[in-house]
Amino acid sequence: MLTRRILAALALIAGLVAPVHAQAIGGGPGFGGVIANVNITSTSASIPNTSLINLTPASPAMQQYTVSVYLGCTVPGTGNNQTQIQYTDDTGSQNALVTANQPCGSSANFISNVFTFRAAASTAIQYSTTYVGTGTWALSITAERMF
Amino acid sequence: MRLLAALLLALSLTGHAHGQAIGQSQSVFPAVVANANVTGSVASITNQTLLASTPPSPPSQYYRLSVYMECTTAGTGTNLLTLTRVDDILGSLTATYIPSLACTANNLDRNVRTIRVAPSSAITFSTTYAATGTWAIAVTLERLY
Repeated sequence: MLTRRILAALALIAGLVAPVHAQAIGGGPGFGGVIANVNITSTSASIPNTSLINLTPASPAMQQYTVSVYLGCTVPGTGNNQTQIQYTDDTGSQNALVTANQPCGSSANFISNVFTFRAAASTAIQYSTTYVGTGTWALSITAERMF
Repeated sequence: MRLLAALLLALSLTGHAHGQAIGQSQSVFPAVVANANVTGSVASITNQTLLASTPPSPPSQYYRLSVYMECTTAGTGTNLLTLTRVDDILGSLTATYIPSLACTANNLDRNVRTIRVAPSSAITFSTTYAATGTWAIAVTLERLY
């Protein structure tokens, strides 16, 4: 009887503990590593859709990525710039605005964002910029796979 | 008792299986390269070194900053957090990452942003404290490339 009670208690604990185990996966080489990066020091035109990750792995069916984007005006002008990330998630193709309409009025104008999203297996992840007016920009992007 | 031992072993193996199923990337980045953990802050912090010197190469480096600031004892004042770094193109830059925050009980703000940094340069943070109140501050810096 005592053994049954202990077993029942352990089964209950296992059910409660399982989600915590699923979260505590950090440490050592594994997911979370930077798998792609972009370092552009001088751009003065829109960048069309450009590959960041040519193809995500074939499995699992759905994956999670974190993209860290920095866009900085290095030579002031009259224009503005923004960045987008293209990916495919559960509902299809997405074009996410990650940094919006940053003016290039002075060389202290910079913006950054950290953006996470789900991406389907065997799909491309791309970035682009939409440049308007004049000015020169620096652009940094990294992509990390989270699971 | 044997049944109990077997169940405990099974639980242990299941736990590890969750932890092992993460191997993919061998990238050394991101890596936390500096952190600050401040409690009981009741004054401005001036140019506190976060990273004394970035590596001498490559000529352009990329870091991610995570900042957190919480009022732990309410007061009449405010606090804000800035970071100073040397941009690889623009030179020295100071930017605010937590704007002025009132010190009402447990009021907090956080931010995650990225920065480009020149080699062999320092990264420091400061707070601008006004009036009364006590603050906790946490800062981590990860290198992304």
